[in-house]
Amino acid sequence: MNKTLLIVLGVLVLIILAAVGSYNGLIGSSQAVDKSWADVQNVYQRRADLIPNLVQTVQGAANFEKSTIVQVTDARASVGRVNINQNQAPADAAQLAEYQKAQGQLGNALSRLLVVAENYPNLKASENFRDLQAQLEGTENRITVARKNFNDAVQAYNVKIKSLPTVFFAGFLGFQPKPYFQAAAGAETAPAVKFDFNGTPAAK
Amino acid sequence: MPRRLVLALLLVLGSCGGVAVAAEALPPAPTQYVTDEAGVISAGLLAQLNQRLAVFEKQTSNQIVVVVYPKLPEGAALEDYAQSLYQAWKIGTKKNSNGVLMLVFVQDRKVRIQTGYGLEGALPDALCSRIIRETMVPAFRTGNYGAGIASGITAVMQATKGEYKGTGQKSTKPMTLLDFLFSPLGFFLLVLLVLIISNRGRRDVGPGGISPGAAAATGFFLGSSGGWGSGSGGGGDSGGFSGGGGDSGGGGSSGGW
Repeated sequence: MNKTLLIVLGVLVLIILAAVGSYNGLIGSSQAVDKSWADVQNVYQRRADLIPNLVQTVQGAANFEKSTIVQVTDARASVGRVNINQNQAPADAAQLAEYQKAQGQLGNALSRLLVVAENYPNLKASENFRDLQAQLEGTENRITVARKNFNDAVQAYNVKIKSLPTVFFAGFLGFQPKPYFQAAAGAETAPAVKFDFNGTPAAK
Repeated sequence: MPRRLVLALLLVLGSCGGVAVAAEALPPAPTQYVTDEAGVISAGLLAQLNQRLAVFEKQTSNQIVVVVYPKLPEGAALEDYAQSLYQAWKIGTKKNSNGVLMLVFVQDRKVRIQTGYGLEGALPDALCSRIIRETMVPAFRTGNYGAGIASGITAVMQATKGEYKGTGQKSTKPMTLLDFLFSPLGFFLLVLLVLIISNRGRRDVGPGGISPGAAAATGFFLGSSGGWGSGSGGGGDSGGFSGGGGDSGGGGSSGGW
């Protein structure tokens, strides 16, 4: 009787220890996810902050195609309309997808603008524009890195939730799996570009 | 036996924690500040640049690492590759991440300056781009790689020299427990500990109170590795590069010619 009591007590202590350990581990990885989410927000904000200066600079070029500028400012406005928590990683996959779509449209509008700018030699030659271009490229690269770090942190968290012994406690303690940034359609495979100098240019 | 059961359970739980992650095949961290894998920099200039960057690290604690490769690995994108290398080589101090990685791919005609977190302020992307466009690329166009790299390094040093204060010493990796166990001193202490523990049970103490095994280990240690200080730690004054634990968030700029 005394021995059984000891065994039961021991098992109980073991369960509590495992629960406490799981909880601490999950809090740590959950905070790592939130931190990397804040980094993602920072780099997206950095890109948004570059836009007024960029718009002003390209507007200075004679006859600059207005539609590309409008697309950029529209895309920026629609990013602002997506309701997303800046400090906490989204729990809802659909919400993150919506946010990602809006940011993706802004990125596309910006790269179109840079392509169009290639047709304006005076603009291309200006130091101000070149600096802005370098800043935009650097920011796009930072976004890639921050999103990868975010996905890595989410992966570590999601793996932890599903591994032993945490899997027994995660749901009970209120920890749910978190969504990832999805790779953009077609981004997994590099586009095949072919130059055919003999005939018509072939694109695949 | 419940005790054995608990032990087995603990073992199972413990082994479930680790997830194996396949490491990407990246080149190991260089041992010099400037490494020329493509054979485009003269030996004299290479030595001079390494010397300058070693002094620079002592003065400012900033680490500038330059590697010239013949070309990018198959299918690798310049920016991704630079980021992976930076993170693998941990350039700059752990505290400040004050490092710069300059990569040149001769056959691809591509160059990238990648900044660590701590030098993004002193060396913003636009400045990296200017250094590439105005200082390095013109020299690369004429095939003068050594001169282009040397003036690029000078420009980066100019921009970053006031950012942090050096300690007069170079960065050393913090010693982990594993490093310590594999250092001669740590290994010696470990062997001594094992011998003491195993001798305690048998009580065959040799002359002078020291067990024969321990005495032999001491002799081995003193005889074979008298200079344990010189080999360990990874820092020293040998003039080479050794990553300090820095990280990068993808800052910098790329260019081509």
